[in-house]
Formats: sequence, structure tokens, C-alpha cells
Amino acid sequence: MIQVKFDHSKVPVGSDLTGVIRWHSDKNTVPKKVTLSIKWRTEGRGETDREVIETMQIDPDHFALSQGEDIPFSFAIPREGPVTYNGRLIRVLWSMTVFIDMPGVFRKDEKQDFTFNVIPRHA
Amino acid sequence: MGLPTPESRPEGFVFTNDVNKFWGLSTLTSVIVIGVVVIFLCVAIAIFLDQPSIGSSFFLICMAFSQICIVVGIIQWFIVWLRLKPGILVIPSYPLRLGESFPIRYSRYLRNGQTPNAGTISGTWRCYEWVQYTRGTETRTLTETIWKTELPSISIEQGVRAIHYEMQLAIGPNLPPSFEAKHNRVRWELQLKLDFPRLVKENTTFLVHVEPEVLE
Repeated sequence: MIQVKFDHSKVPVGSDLTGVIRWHSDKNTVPKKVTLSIKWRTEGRGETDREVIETMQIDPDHFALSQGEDIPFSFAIPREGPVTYNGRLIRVLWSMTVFIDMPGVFRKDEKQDFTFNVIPRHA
Repeated sequence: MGLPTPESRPEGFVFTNDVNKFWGLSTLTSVIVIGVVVIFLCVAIAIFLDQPSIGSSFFLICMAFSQICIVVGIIQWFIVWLRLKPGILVIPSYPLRLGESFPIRYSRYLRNGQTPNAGTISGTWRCYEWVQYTRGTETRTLTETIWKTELPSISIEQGVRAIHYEMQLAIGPNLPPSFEAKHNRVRWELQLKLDFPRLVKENTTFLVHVEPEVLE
């Protein structure tokens, strides 16, 4: 089970998205790869636009050893945004995706999205 | 992506609605369009002369009407280009920010002479959403105005060598900043309407960028 806790639910553009990730697994398995990424995407009447802003990898051994413990992360939100938006034709949504690539054919990979809000910065 | 970049000058950030560039690029297009329409018109006349019928007459009338409209439109653009220099919009600071209030100055100089009649100039300052989507093989676009304000109309007297329009604009702190993606956009646009009998009647638009920053 993946749990993510953001330090702030609303992050101004140009600031850092910080928080912790915690993972629980029934089996003592070391993942092949652990990836965190932040991205935005649009929803609404138009075709979907999306962009992955930043991706970081966590050492799988460290990740497995730290089961049940908080592992901190930090991502820089671009100054130009975009900001989270809920309009009439367009919605802009930000999320952080956690992907845990498990070894072996029969082990299921874990993937989960966690949404957060990006707001305009104050001058 | 898609938004014009203003030129930084001592008087401020200058946006130019360059009709000269438009004409430079579109002269060839206009010639091609007129050529194609003339060919279609000749074919329509030939069909009509060969087999006069209600259908061929209707087709001929439609072709003739569309050609007249195209030619009249091109002549109107050309007359404006001959009489007026490109429109210039000056903004003191750029890019713009949410919660900001700022003055604008729009100028349109005549190439020769003076305005033959009194006229009016007015404007619209608006924020809108634009989306593009496909239905089957067709690509469609849709726009929705989120917020707009009509700017006051002012009268310009007869006999001036330049048309000037000065106004104070504002961007609400809770309105969205600009957003540009391939299929989804939030844009801020200043539209100016000039109505000068026997000189020019046109709408000019300027797209400006609003940063995701709120002015305290």
C-alpha cells in the first residue's frame, strides 16, 4: 500500500512540492524500480494535453528497507505553471504518480496517483 | 506558444498589429484564391451556356456572389492598408499579473491626410477559454468567454492625423492566468473597434500574457 502526505495541499508556482511517501508490503520483496513523477493534464471538452514536469527515482534497496517509514521527496513546480484550474470547458489537474516496479512475472506492479493543487504565487 | 512577444521600448512594451506583414504574406494567397474562384466561375458559366437549367443558374449565382464577396473583402483590406499605418498598443509593464490595473495606449496613424469624418473607437477586454477537439475526421474548436468588460466608446473628431485611445484596464485577482497548450488555452484579449466612415471600420485584437502571479 502506498501512502503520500503532502506538506501543503496548495503549492504556489515557483515553489517546491514537498512531502513524504510511505510504503507497506506483505512480502519482503525489493522492488526493481521506484519512480515518482509530477505532471499536469487537462480534462474537459478539448483533446487532452499533458506534460510530465519532473521524474525522480528512489533507490529500491533503501525503499524496501524503509518500509513503514516516511521517505521525504521534493519537486520544483515551474514558475510559469500552469495553475490548477476548473473552468467551463477546461480543467487543469496536477498529480504525483508513484510507480513501484516489482520483480518477477507474477508480482503486480503498484501505481497510484495523488492529486495536489498549484496556485498563483503572490508578488 | 502562440502569443506575440512585444517589443521593449522606452515608452513601454509595444505590440504592433502589422497589417504590412499581413499583406506581404497574404498577397500571394489572395491571388491564388481569386484565380481559383475565377476558374470555378468560368466552369459555372460554361455549364450554364451548355445546358441552361435552374440548377446551373443557381450554381452560377452562388459562384458570382462568393467571388464578389471575396473581392470586396480584399479591396476593403487594401483600402485600410493604403490609408492607415499598423496599429500600436503600448503597455507600461509586461507580462501582466493577476490583480493588476494598468493603462493602455492604442495609436493608429494615417499614412496621408486627415480623418475625413468624425468616428468612434471602443473596445472589449476579455478572458476566454479555447479548446480544440475532433469529431470523426473533423477538427472543431470551441470558445467560451469567462469574463469580459466593455470599454467606453470615445469620439474622435474630424481632421486628425492619428487616432489615439487611452484606457485603464484591470485583471481581477481571482481570474485565471494565461494558459497555452496544444488543444486547450486560456487567453486574455484586447479587442478594439474602429468605426470611421469613409476611412476604416475594423476590429483589431491583441493577445497578452497574464502571469500566474497575484499582485498584493
